[in-house]
Amino acid sequence: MLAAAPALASCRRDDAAKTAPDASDATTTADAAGEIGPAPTPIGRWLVPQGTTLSKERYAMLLSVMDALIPGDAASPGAVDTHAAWYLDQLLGAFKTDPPRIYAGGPFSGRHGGIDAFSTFQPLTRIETLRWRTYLEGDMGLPERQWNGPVKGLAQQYADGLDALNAASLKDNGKGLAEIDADAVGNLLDAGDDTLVQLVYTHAVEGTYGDPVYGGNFEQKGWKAIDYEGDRQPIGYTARQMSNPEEG
Amino acid sequence: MAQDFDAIIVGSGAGGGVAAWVLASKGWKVALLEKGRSAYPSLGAPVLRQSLWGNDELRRRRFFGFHDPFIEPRTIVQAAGGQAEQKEFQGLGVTVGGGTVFYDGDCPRVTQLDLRMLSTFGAVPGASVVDWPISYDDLAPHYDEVERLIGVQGAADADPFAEKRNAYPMPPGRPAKVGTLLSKGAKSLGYHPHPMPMANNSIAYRGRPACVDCGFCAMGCPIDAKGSTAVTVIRDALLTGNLTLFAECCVTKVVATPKGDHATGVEYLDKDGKPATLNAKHIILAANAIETPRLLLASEIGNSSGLVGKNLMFHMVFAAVGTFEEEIRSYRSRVVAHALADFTVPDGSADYIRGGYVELGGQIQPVEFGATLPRQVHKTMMVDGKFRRKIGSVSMMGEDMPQEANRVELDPKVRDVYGRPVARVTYVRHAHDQAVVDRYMPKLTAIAKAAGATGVQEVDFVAQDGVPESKHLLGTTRMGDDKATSVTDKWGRMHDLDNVWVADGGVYPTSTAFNPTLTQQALAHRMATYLLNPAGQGKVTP
Repeated sequence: MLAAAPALASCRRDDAAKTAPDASDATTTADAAGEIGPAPTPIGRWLVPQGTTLSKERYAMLLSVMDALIPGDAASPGAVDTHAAWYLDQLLGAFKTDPPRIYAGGPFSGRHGGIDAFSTFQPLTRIETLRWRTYLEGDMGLPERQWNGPVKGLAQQYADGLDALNAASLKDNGKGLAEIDADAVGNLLDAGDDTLVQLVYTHAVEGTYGDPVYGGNFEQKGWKAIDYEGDRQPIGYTARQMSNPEEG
Repeated sequence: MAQDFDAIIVGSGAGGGVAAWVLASKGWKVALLEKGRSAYPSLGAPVLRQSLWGNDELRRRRFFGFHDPFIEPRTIVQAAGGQAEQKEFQGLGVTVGGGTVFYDGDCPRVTQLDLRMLSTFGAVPGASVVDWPISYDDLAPHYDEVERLIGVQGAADADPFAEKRNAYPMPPGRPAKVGTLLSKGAKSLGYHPHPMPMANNSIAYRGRPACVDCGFCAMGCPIDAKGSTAVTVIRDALLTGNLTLFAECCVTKVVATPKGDHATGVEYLDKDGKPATLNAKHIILAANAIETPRLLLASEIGNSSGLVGKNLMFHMVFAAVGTFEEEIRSYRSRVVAHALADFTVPDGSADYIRGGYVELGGQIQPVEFGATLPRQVHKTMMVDGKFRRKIGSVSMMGEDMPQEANRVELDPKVRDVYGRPVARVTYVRHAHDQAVVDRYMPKLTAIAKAAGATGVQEVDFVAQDGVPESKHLLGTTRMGDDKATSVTDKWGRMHDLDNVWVADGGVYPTSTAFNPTLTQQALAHRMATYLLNPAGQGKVTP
């Protein structure tokens, strides 16, 4: 199963405006990279790609939070630019495909030789299926998912957490989370529930620096920003690359 | 009763894998039960196909083949009289090969001094220090055999504090820059750095390729250059036709006779979650020093001493982490390439006995590093300072004191996905252990500074409100000659049951000053050799 990629390179509405000024009206549009895909939905500062597992509104809220946690600039991309929100959305929707998009295949990505095995996701065992369905979906009232009591799934944690932040934004700013600027989002995060902030931050980091096969680290921008080589098998490093890393 | 097997082994990690090879290679019919999945589509086939491991932090963070606290939580008490809290700590591999799939591969041996702590230094108040019931000479031939089987690289004459030994099966691998700099710094202070003995191939060895130093050892080796038990002894045992591997099978009980002095088999949940049983003449427990006592306590056997689960030891792992002016890129290497043993020798202090083995190097990948940073400093640390490329660390495996109060019990409330009570761990540092950290942390910092590091941070997770994360699980079924003060005998057989054996780090009476995996494997090799032929008294025969 190949990784499903979002149909637009940038979710920043101002980026898209540079190449497709009529983005908000079109049914199909050229994205920031010039490709044609299904029309994204403009919400607040963001363009939300088609096919998200989160509702479009919550996806836009998530973009605002990730943008505040790992902001980008001219020199280095932030979590929005590396598609970290898409990464999280792919995790939430992992069971839309079979095998589920939980564990990439092995042993190689194909970027350094060998075949690309990563993009063939691995079938899950019985226990892994139970684990990931419970973790993502919650217990859903099923006894076999309540070995240690009730479980609130990750999707619900995100929905509740984003809705609460959005309500706080409406109260403080008179505008929703997707519309306010990064500084205002930052103020909300500093005052809000740290559990959600830590959860989003962790997924933002995973989506920025994890392997692109999981939907984030778009065009390896996260790795490039920190001058990191990423996976290296099967070639590894030469003795000279080990002993003289300053040479590149 | 009809026997399904000569021996059942519970757990396919360091010790279980070695025991499986020793027995199966001599014709015993062996069942190896492993709770986790296999990452090898063809482990027992003549040609080994590629595994499902990869240079991929995310599958590791999603607990692929690893202890998963979501389905098997643990609770921990970290202060005397404190409350148990559910936390993630001391997870090891839960897959065919167990912890050896994910470990660094550090393979130092112990010294005779490690096995004679009580008679050499005397008692430590509040600690249950004892001598081991065996000597270094008892272990040496088994070390030789295990090193040959799994493939260990090293330089025999490089560590002046080590016992005399034969040449390693392989020469040391390629030096890493961070280790070279830190070694130079250590030498300038009069210490004796040397290549870390490691179960990573420096050359092609027994059908497996040389390590290419990709830096992802902690995610499972994609090319099988690391000598995990999966691709060495377990594969070899499967090829004999005498070993049957039961992956994804969780043992829930060791079944014993009503008198409790003999085991008949095990109960387990099969791949589909259905209860099943297996019978055998001997049962070997190698699930690790948290999971083995958990299974024994749940089975209500083997505890006439009251010591099952007690004397849990982890080592104190603490580090000095510094930033170098020049590029280090410490991830361009197997995890550790250099080490020193100078601090395993006592320095005459009245507050503690000695320190432990020191690793010069260490590495961290970007997701793990980024996720542990406070979000406010993310950009500074990840992008602006190029910090990750310039950090290097010096870390010690300090010998912690055995204490009966440090223990594994069954948690009265929390359950795992299989419906079993989870392990509740109590681990509180002894004053001796804290004195070691206090004394040696500055010495680690001095090495980092002598190597040119600046801005050195001293990291001690336990003192900094964290959990012990050494991955060294030791001591909960300690061996000894007296059944009132130990759980297993000098061969690893339980005093209470004539056919139940322990082949993991639980048998350690004291934690020693060295990384424990190779010694666990030598102990398992010795135990299984004795089991094959008790009259041979554990002597290695060709």
